[in-house]
Amino acid sequence: MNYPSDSAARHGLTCCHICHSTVSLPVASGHWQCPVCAARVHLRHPHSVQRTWALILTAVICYIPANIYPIMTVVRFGRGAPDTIASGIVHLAAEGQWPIAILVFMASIVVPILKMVVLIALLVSVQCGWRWRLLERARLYRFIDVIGRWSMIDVFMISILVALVRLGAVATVVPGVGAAFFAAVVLSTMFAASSFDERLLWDSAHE
Amino acid sequence: MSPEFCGTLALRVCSTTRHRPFRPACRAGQGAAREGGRRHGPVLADGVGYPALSTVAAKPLQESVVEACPDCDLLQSIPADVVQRTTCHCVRCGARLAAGDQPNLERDAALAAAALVLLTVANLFPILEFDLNGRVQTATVFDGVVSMWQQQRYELAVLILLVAILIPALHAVAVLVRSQLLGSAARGRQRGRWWAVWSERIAPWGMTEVYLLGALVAFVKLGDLASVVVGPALYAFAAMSVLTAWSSAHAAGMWAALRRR
Repeated sequence: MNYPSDSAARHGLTCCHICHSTVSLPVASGHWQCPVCAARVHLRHPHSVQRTWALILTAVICYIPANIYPIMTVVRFGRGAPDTIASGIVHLAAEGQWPIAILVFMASIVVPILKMVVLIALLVSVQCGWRWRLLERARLYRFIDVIGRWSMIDVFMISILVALVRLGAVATVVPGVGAAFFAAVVLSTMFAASSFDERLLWDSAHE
Repeated sequence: MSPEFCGTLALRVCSTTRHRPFRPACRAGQGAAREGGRRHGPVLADGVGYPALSTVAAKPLQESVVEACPDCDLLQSIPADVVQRTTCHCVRCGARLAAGDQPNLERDAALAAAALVLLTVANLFPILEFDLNGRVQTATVFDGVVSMWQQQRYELAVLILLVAILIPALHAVAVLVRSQLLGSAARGRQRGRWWAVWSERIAPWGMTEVYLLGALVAFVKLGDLASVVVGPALYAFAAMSVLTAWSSAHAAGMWAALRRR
C-alpha cells in the first residue's frame, strides 16, 4: 500500500489505537506490539474496508425485519396491540408527547439510517479515492461513531416495560422479534463504525 | 529526516494556514500556547532529523516530540515544553494527540469508586414504580433482564445484562484496579497495563446514559396507562451518566503514567 508522504505510516511510525502512543514499527523485539500498553498495533486496521462492508450489509439486512415485525405487543384485557418501531412513534405523537416522539424518532429511525448511509458513502469514497471535503468527511465519521449507541434507547425501554407491566390479563407487555433484529442493527453498525479506519480517508486522497 | 519529507510537511502546514485561520495545535490553557508572543504551533522537526525512536517517541525529547495523529496519521512535531503543559490537537483534523496528556490516577480512582456506589444503588432499587388501580409493580434493571429471559428473548436478556449491568461494573472495577497498580512500582505497572487496556476496550460498551433515556421514554409511555413513580435507581443512573462522561473525558491521561518510565 502506498501511504502519503506526510503520514506516519510512510516513516514506519504508527499511533497505537488503544493508548495513542506513537510507536515505531516493528519494535526491537520484532513483535508488532505497543511498548506502552502491549496491545497489537497495525499501520491500518486489518481488512478495514471488507469488515466494514460486511457489517454494514448485515445491518441493512437486519433493518428490514426490525421495521416489519413488532418490537413489542401490549396485551390489555386479553387483546394484543402489536407495536412496530414506526407505530410506537406515531402513538407517542398522537398522545401529544412530541418531545419524546421526536427523541425516539431520532434514535430509532434517523440515527440507524444515517449511520448506514454515511458509512456506505465513506467506504465508497475510500474505494474511489475521493479528495473532496476530507475534513468534513472525517468529522462526519466521528459524529456517527459517537451517536451510534443512542439507538439502544428503544431496546432498554422495552425491557423496562416488560418487567414493569406484568398484570396478567389486565395488562402485559410482550417483547417482539423486531426488537432483537433492531438490537442486531445497532450492534452491527457500532462494530462497523469501529472497524472502519478513518486514516484510509486521508490515505486514499493522496494517491 | 529526508529532505523530501521536510518539504512536504512544510507545504502541508503552509496550505493549512492559507485555507483557514491558523489553528494552534495546542488549545488547552490557551495562554500557554502563545507565550511571549511566540507561536507554539506545529513546527517542523527541522534539521535535527528524527530523534532515536527506539520504542516510543512520546517521551519528552530535547527539542520536540514527534507525534502521529490517531485519526489522520499526519506526522507532526511539537515543542517539548508545550507538550508538558497543554493538551495538543492535530493541525490537520483536530483530533486530540497523546502528547500533553497528564496522569491523574487519584481522580480516576475516585470517580470509579463513586461509580461503583452508584451502580449498587442503581441495581438494588427500582427504576420505576407502576400503580394500576392499586396494583403496584416495581422493576429493577435486573428484573428487565429476567423478564426478557422468561419471554424467550434470550439474546436481548444477555445484551441488556452486559451493556447495562456487567460492563459498567467491570469498567469501574478495572479503573479502580488500574489506578492502584499504575501508581505502584514497576512490576505492579505491568499488571496495571493489562487492566488499563481492558478498561479502555470495554468502555464504549457500557451504556448507562442510554439506559437512562430508555427509562425516561418508558416513564412517558406508561403515563397514560397508569400512575408511574420514578425510583431511586433512575437518579443513580443519571448521576452515573455524569460520572461516565467526566471520567471518559480524562481517560487518555492514564497512559501518560505508563509512557513516563
